[in-house]
Amino acid sequence: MGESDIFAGLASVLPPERILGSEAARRVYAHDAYTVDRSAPDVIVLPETTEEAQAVIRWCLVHQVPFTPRGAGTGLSGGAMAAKGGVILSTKRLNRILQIDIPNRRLHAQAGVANLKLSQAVAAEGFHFAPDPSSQSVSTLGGNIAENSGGPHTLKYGVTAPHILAMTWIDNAGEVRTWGTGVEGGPGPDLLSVLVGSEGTLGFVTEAWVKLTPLPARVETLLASFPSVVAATETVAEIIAAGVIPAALEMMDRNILVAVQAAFGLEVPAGTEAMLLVECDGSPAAAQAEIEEVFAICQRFGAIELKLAANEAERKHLWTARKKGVGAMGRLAPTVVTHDGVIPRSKLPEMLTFVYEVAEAERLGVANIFHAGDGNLHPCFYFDDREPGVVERVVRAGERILTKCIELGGSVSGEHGIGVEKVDFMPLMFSEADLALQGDVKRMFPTSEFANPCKVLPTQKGCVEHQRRWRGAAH
Amino acid sequence: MIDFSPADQVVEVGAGMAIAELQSLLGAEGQCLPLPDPAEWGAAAAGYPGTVGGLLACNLPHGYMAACGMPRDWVLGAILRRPDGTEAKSGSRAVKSVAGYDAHKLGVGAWGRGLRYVRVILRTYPTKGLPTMSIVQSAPVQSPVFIQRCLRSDFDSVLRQTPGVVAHDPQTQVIWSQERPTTPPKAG
Repeated sequence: MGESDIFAGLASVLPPERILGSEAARRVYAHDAYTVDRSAPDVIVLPETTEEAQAVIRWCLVHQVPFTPRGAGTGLSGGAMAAKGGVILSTKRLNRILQIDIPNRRLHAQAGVANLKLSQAVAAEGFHFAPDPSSQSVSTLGGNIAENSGGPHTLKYGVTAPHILAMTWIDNAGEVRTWGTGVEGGPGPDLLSVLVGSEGTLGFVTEAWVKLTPLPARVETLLASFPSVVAATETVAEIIAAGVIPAALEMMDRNILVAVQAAFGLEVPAGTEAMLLVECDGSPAAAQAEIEEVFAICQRFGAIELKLAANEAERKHLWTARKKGVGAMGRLAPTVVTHDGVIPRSKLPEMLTFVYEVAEAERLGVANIFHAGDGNLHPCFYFDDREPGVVERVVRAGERILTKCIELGGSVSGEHGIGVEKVDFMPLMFSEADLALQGDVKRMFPTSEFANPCKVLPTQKGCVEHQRRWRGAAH
Repeated sequence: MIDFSPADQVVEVGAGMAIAELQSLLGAEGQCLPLPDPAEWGAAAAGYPGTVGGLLACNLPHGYMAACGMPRDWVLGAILRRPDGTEAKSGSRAVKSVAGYDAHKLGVGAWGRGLRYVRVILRTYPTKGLPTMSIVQSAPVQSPVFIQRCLRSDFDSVLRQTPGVVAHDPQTQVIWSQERPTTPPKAG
């Protein structure tokens, strides 16, 4: 079915102004933040209600047109890419907060509401939505659910799954379902936890009830500069081993700091090779005691400079490098590809050394900015994609890093999912029997070859040729 | 115990290991599963007397739930036995992972139906970081008990209407009672 037929067909179920099909729109929606692979959709639809989304999905199923959910497109694994063309089902207009229930510490919102808006809506009441991916100003609730997103404060508050109480979603047979209740931990198998993190392949989430967490009474923020990456990573290991659970424990290496210094005028003490951003929160006494312990550990491991935020303005300033680091990377090169892998945290020193070795061998620039406390790495390779052969080297470097993550007992994705990028890595991490079990988990839910094809599990029908085409197109 | 890395706060154990034994092994390194001591709090309010596999299969509320979550939040991975007897792995030793479908979560709260845990990978907690509990105990808590969780706004009235309450936690709105609750569960 051609794009004009799809456009005309969908116009029978959705007002035409909410269907996009221009060349420019199709190009914008051809990829997410994983920019190496591209595949343009035929049309993009913007439903405003669960019923409208259901009508689109049903139309696609009847007419055998592939459809792919998409939030803000900040994912790093091509999860929001229309792998076989067809329809992008965007949550952009599912952007309303439906109910705020402060007495019961919960909030009901549509899937397209930006993560930060949830917290802003309840901040005056002293609450927040705890998962806070670095993309939180744009990334959506639906996208966070799909990828089981983390963020700097995951270390203490957990990933997205424990913060989701209930969801309304449309399965891949086009039925609307509501799962979960107002309280967590009800009896029965934990199906909600399977749905969260399934990368939008089991269904399309349109609404969710989320848990609200009280804002901490006190927050202490410390920025520590270290003369070597090893000293910083060893400090991380020691903080964890000492039994402190900071709210956040983030690391940035020299190349990130250079970019942030150029972009935002961040002061970096001479001789700094890495910085740690540590936040402790809780009751005033607990936060104070924890930050003092962290302070002492940093000193013991040779920190050059330790800056403790005295007030909220200073705290925000200390967070600048971490929050704006990836954006500032644009200063270093025209193209940036950020990877996402996890390892047991005690392996951080070994893993980072490996990342630098790979970058050198592949002649690529690399900067590291990541959730050190979780062992969740984000090596950012920066390059000029007009240089012949550079994309192959970037892809190869990523593959070597992910292989090492598996070798060290970690995972190929911490918070961005498998998408299309990492499908080939699944057999490295899981045996045939393991993947067969995952296939059966998928088949517990209604399936359709047209629902978000070519994601997560390898050996899906007709995906190999598509993959060759994307990578070919990218070179 | 198959493997324990205190520096990573991750432990891999056979599902048949008694929780009491696991707690004492973890305790030697200053770590634990964040569950109250059953000798002090009664088996039910502690969330366990049994094995690691049972803990996950039941996924019961407990005294540290408000700050440390439920057993479902601690399971990072597992080797599972399927009904046909074959075994498969799910998850990893990393504290967060989005790699495929989390089959290891399917045994949580399933009371042994379907998938069974052979080995589990759990995150552990530093003992010194354990929060203070807010459980109010009104009688010795014995098994078996009835457990209710309700909305914060319904808590006081449900508590008043529940006969034979032995403990309740205002922070998580959990009520443990020796008698079957008379209030029908509310939707939402």
